[in-house]
Amino acid sequence: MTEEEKRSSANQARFLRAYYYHELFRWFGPLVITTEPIDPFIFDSTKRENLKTTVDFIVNEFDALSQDGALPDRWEGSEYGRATKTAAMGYKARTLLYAASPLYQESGVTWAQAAQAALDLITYADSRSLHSLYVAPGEPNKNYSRYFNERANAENILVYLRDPTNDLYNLFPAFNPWNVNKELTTVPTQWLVDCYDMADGSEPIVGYNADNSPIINPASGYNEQDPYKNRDPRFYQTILYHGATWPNVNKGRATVDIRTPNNWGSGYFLVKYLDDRIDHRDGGTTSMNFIMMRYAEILLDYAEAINEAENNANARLMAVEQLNRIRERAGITNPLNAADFTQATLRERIRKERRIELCFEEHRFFDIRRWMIAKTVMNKPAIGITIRGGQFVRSRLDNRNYSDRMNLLPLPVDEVNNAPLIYQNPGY
Amino acid sequence: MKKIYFLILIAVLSLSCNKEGLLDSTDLDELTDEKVFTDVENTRRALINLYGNMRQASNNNSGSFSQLFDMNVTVAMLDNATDDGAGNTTRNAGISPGIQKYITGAISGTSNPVVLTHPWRFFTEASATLIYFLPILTNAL
Repeated sequence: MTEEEKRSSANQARFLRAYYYHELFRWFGPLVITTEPIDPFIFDSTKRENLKTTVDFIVNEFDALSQDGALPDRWEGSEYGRATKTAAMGYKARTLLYAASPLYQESGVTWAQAAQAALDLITYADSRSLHSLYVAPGEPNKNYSRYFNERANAENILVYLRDPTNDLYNLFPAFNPWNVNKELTTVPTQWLVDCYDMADGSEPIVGYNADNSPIINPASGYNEQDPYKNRDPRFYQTILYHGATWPNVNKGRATVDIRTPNNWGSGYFLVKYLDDRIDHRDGGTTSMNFIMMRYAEILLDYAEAINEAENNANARLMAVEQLNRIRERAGITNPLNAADFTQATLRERIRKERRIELCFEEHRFFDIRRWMIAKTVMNKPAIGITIRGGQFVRSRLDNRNYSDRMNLLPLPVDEVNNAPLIYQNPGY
Repeated sequence: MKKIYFLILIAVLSLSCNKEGLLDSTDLDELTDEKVFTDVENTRRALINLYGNMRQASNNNSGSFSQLFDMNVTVAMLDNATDDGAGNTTRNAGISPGIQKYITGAISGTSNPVVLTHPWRFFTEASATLIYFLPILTNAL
């Protein structure tokens, strides 16, 4: 093993340690920070640090790994998937974005720091052609969906590798309208469906009445009884709905009909990740991985952070530029105009864009917490769609109850009881 | 913490080895300061195995589409516990109880919010494994 390989191995291990701390931070907040093995019999002095110390440690680790020579720009062949310099830069940016958010304000991190970290990655990656938004060769109407079908491409920053011929569909938690009595455990809600703009970029629904019925934007052309017509192209590449068809279901094309007597859940099905070239009901396998971080997320990180950092036209211009890159890749032809936004309205637009682009990539669980909006959005019931008397009718799926304490998870109670300097999160 | 760090050695020593490529894994207990970089394949595989802990899964090679793998018997993504998603309330077995906890607010310090390893323990053990492994690597440089 060469000296460079040795150093790289040590730095990859250091990256993973920082990554695990990053995960703990976003679940629990302040952490026990240590770089030396702890004697398992000396736990009285094991201390849970404050938020600032926790964030500083994680950011400093990723920062050190972002320096030239610490990690390579790329890994090729069988080495693909290992930690790279841009992965370190990306996790530094995400950590700072979280830390600057309302939930973690005690960290002292500013939005400007978060914006700079994301911009550093964008600049570095663009200048060396390391990362870009994926474009499907010969299938421009599938730029978005096909990205999730490809094992290795330039949009990936870090992926969780799976076997090249894995049986994803046996583990896949969401999709299968033709197998509804089995593993249908993840279904999109009407709330998410409502978020997708019309194809021309106009918003179909601009709010909700007290009874959760939608306030429709008449200028958008949206029709509650023909709700799936002319929507954001990403809608069709993410969600299967009544009347939609899907190829390759037991050697044939199938159509969703929620009028038939079946267990249809919300009336919507997740097709993001599914490869329509593979008959997943006929033993098909996939080579796809799970995406841990991708370039589009960093563009959204930057847009959010720069809009929060500076309340001026130039900041909004830079933020909207990132949104338009993502929307153009998805096939939306009408770009957003920065001059149409204030800081507050752009904040809502950025959050909506993030919700749509990154849906079902396990971001929103943390986003609604760090923005401290979970108490609002999670105290409404989940809503789905049914058909009664030939009409689409919104239907309640469950009742929900959320309190602010759930913004951070509780530590295991025996951990708190065994170590006096490890304190529990508030409310538990 | 006592329990966690006591278990870490067990976790470290129980990592197993099988196939080629980045999805390989190996026994960390075979590594020492002296042989960590002389036994290149073992070092390589040990490191690769550590990548497997980026997500909680039934095993390091299969991975999971849910970060926490298993909120109850079946795989359910964290997005189910947001306004974007819902556990299927019409599923024969009923909504996954693991998801139900997040939806109804029944999260407490005395119960595991997921079915498999508590995320605090999972990621703490993962990071502590690196705390054990990293000095071996750096000392050998």
